[in-house]
Amino acid sequence: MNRRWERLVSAYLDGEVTPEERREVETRLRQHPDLQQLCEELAQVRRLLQSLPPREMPQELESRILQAVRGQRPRSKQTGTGRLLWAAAGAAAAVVLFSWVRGGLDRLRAAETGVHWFVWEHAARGTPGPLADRTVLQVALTDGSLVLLGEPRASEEAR
Amino acid sequence: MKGLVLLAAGLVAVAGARAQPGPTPLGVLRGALEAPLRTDYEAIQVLTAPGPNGPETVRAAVWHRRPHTYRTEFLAPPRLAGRLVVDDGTYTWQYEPSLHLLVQAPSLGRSDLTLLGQVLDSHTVRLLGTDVVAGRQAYLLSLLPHGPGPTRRMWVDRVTGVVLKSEAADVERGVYFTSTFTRVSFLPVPQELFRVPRPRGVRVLKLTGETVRVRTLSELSRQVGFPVVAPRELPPGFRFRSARAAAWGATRAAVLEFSDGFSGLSLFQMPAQRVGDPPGGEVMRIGGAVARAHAVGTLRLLVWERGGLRLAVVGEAPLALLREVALSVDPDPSAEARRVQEVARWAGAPADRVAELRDRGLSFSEIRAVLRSKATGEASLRTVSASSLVEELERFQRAVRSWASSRESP
Repeated sequence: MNRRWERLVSAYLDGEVTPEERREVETRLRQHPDLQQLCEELAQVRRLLQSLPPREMPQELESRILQAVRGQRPRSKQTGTGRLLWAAAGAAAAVVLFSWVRGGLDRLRAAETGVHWFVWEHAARGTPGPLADRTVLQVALTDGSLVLLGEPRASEEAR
Repeated sequence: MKGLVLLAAGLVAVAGARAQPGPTPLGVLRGALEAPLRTDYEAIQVLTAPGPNGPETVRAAVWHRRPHTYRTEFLAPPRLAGRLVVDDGTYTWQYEPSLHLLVQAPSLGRSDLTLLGQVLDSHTVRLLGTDVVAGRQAYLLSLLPHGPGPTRRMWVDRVTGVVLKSEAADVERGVYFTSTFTRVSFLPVPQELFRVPRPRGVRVLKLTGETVRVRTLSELSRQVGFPVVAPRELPPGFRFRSARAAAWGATRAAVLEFSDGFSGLSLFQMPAQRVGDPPGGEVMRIGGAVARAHAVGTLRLLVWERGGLRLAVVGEAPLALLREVALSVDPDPSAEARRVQEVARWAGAPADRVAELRDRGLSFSEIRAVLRSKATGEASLRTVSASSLVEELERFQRAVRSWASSRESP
């Protein structure tokens, strides 16, 4: 099992795969018990998260956000402007959370792809001299492409 | 009498031979640079280079159709066997039969003849003699770098200029790369051979990414959202080539490219909190920072963190050279400002002028050379301003492209 399949299974459970990928995942799941087990574990985590009761946002959080946004204390009763500010603060929080999650994913990706992104970028877009050997550059580029796509090397697949 | 006639004939032949200009290192090198634009070939190439588990011998069938199309079928080792790569001058298409996968990536680029001048500036080029490779007569050239970069030898076909064999060595790795055509033919190669295979049901994945080329570092800083740093100095023979923004997931990375005419160096910069340190590698120190040195094929990489930036320098170069670049990158803006003031005082030039040249990607020694030659009125390439240098370069590139296309048209 490789990371591409892990990602695909996760996306499959979230309903974020193309019909082709769906078929691909379902075929793979039938053939690989370890992938099937991972899929069940991920599905269980999802079910667990979905079963958690929704929680009310604490009142003091609202006050703190409004203070931060407007630099003043909130009015006790929400007006139209207050609701608007609430929405803005919520959107800002969502953006921060999204960036934080994406940043975390980038850090994970760096660990996953190792140095291959740098090599790939250098080979694909750098300034190779006109006399540089193209075949050795092709090996660097194409090996890097497979790593970045999360594909196993041809030999690993054959084993 | 017969002897005298023969002697006279011999003298005439020698005089005739002297009248023919002999090959020069520059002539042979220029011939090698121009060869892909005017010659088709088909060859079996055997190369030995560092692989994932030590030195690896790669065997491939290669085809080239002028000016910019290449096809490579990898025959060995087993991990590469079956891989097919077609470079049509715009994209590199990689077909992996065992994975039933076709990957579309950027082309490895075209022959840039403007780099010839820089190769000559940064290397001592010598013609060592002649040799025979794959049954063909070849000139043997050596290229000795003025800095710590790799030394190269190239065997250039006497008739076509195609490089039949090459070697690269440096002080850290010895001879780390060899490539030889074991069989070659120079017959026209049909266009059909460069059709990309698309078997039924093949998965096609695009890996073309996003990149934005910019002219100045301030523009690049705006693109990536953080201040981009240029190395204070570059290793001998290297010059700034270009700057661009690249995407790493949701993160933008700044990439500066340098070249000595033969090989390139890429310097990457991205926010450290967004991109983790790739694992593995050999740990070493760069100034006060801990760096990791990695090797991937013939390329070496150094990755380190400084001033909140994750930095990486990549190139086909010994670690000593990469370390020199790394030591020269200081993300501290006050240190940069101090250095700009120092150089401005030394040259008697306004600090704004020095800062402007820095913004064009020039190292401080290049700036000193530009300002000094301007002050003394020397009529050299270095006397022109950085902006006109860029314009001159672009004009020259346009002229070369138009020359190349006129040669390509039937």
